[in-house]
Amino acid sequence: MKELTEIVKFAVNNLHQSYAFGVISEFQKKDAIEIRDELGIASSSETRAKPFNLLESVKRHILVRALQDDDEVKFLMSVPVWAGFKPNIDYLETEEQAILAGKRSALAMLWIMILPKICARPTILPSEIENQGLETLVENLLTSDESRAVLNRIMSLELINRGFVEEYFEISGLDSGYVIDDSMRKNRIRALIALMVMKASNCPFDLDKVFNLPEHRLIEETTLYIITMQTRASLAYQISGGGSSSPFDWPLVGTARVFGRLISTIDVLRRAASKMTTCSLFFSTIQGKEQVWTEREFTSFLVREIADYYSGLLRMSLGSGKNKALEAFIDILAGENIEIAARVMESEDRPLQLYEELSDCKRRAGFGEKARISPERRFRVVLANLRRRLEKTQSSSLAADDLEEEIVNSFDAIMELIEKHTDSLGAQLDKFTEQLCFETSFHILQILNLGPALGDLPWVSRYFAEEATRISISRGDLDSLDERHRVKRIVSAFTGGVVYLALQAQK
Amino acid sequence: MLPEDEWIIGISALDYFNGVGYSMPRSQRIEQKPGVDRDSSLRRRLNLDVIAYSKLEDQLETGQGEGEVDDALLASSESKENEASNDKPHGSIPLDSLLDGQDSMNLYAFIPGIFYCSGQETSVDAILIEVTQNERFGMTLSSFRPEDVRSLDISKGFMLDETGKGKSVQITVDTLGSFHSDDFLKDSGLTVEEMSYSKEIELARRLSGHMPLSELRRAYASSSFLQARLMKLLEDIDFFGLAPRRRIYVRNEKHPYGRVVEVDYRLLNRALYLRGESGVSCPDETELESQLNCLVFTKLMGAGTETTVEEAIIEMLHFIKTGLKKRTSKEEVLDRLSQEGD
Repeated sequence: MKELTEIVKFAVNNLHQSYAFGVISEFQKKDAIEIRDELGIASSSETRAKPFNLLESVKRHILVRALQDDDEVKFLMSVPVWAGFKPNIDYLETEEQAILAGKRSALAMLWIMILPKICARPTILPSEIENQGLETLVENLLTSDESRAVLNRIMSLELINRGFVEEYFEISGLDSGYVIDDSMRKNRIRALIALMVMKASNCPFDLDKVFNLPEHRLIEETTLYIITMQTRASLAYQISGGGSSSPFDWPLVGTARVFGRLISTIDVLRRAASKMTTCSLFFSTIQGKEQVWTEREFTSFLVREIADYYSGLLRMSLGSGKNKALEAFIDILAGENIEIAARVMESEDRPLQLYEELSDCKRRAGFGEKARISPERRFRVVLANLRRRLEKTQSSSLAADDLEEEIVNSFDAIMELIEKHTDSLGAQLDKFTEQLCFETSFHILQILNLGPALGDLPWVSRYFAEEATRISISRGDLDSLDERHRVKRIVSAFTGGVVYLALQAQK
Repeated sequence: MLPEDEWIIGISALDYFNGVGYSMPRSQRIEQKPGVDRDSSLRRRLNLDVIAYSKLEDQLETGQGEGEVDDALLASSESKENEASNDKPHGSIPLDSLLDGQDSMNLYAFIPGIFYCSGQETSVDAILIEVTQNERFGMTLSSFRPEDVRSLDISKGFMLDETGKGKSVQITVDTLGSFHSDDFLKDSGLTVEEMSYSKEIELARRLSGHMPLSELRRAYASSSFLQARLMKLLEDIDFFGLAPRRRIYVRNEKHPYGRVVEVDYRLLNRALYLRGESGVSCPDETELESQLNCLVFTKLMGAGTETTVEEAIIEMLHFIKTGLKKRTSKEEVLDRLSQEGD
């Protein structure tokens, strides 16, 4: 109980940081009529005929207000049905009942979604992450109505102690407006809450596997999701310095002490990830078998995270002229991260070795050296980087200029690959170029969630090839149409096609 | 991809095969003569423009009332369909002894219609491409991909009006080729002079700001390269009419860069001279003749029956003839084509 009180205290302390809590607080004070007015629903017979639709629209309205992520809203709207709950049509008789049920359900969901977030703190020490009583909190959330009542009591007490007199903690209305067979309810409510916590922790999960976990494993697994989220937040915080100065602000490349803490954090992440059975994030498939990442792969992940931070710096500094050395540094770090990780793993003192590696990359970057990797590897690295960047920033929020540059970079990597093989390709050169361009376009469009646009790619690309050629001819610039430039023109045409389709989709 | 490369443009009914017809030859002898026909200086890629007919049912109906010869042709080709799948392929030389179980598993892609080939500067009744594959750096390259064929929508074009704004127009001989993307960008206050990327990419990023995909499609229909190609096709139809060309374009292992092969249709001769034979004959290449007659394609239009190279070609010509109402002047053909999409 003491453990639970501690973590609840901590969570309530952080409540003010949560935007969603503001929305909870706002809606707790609203009654049915206010909410109805806010939604602009006329009290017509149509809404009365379909009270469940009204419930859903109230719920969606509140969730959209509180959460910035459309994907989360979509998930929360459908997760009760996935867990086996059915709309309870008989129970809702009046409009007011429907609105209040929608409100209760939405607010309970929001509480569950913010709990894992507010009990996390980026400044946490790696050694503390695993021993802060997270499992007790999850156990109380998941076990039974009684355990949730205990949590409710402690939370309410803590809210009052903190001066939140008008707000209250309430998650029992989670399934308001829904119904499920009594024999299944206990299990399904548990699965429902677990799924929501997993969603809140921002890791992908396999629904079927979650449903199949027995109670104690579900509690353990859910706790692991929160731990994973905390370690990732902590990593990001340590690398970025959390708004103040970062140990990785170019030309700084960290210190052995900084790397010491980063590596302990990665170790926590690895311990948690290797126990998880429903999340594929830290698994790779080797010969058809899923295996949790090796230590080396986790180290390589750390190096990529650091490289990503530097890429962010580079983008922000674009206005003040490109920093060639930083650009070269990122290129080496991202390109050779596997080799770097391998050397770090062999070393007796991993933090020191990592520091030496980054210092060495910086030195080489200063001479304008490029990463020592084959064009094939570079091509894969570029594609992987693009995927990672887009996963981090929703593609819609990626600025058009950045998106364009990323696409052009991916195709530049192709040019390098082709140039290396020009002789061995011989007469197949053009064909190979087109094939590779098409594959790359396919990958990029997939990453951008634009798979169906692939059908338009060929004619769109050809159009740009034709127009560019026409412009060259009309200006008498015949040299640019020389045989030597064919490969470049083909690659440019595909690049143009993908750029056009990607930018159009953003509109 | 590049405009100076070989291209083919033509008219076909894409729902006949739901795009391109594919076939696995039942059995066929592999003839490999590496290097014989390969000219390494030739680096040609094919790109096919197909103007699609969409209203096939209508055409079938109107087809009934058309000339008697057409009906006779159609009837004779239909009556043959049931037998076709059981028939041994006809060949002018006994092939069975040569087959020796050496089954080539290569796929064939096939589109019948009226096509103009830029490489040979002539028109053909069909395109037949053997899909060959080879491995490179762990990637499998195929000699033909579906995206090599693009269907064209020329129902509407795009041009600049007096104020420099773009507008949609009906495609006619006069409006063809009238749209230049750089003029459009200039009028939108942009020039292609200041470029940080290559021309293609610059055009793409700028047009993406001013033109949604549907407009780009129209701009494309009004582009000057398309005009040149379409005019070649229209002139060919104007001059030679809608009679079978008795030529097909073939690209296979033996002719990796494609060639136009003279053929004849026994079915057609039978209808005219009452001889009881069917199948494509191909005097210059007996080997190809037997290959051609091995191929069976599943027709997706109608009941989904199987068809042969020969039947499909004759049937398609019939559709085109009825679709165009036998008119062959450039203006009328273009007019019919551009109204198809409406």
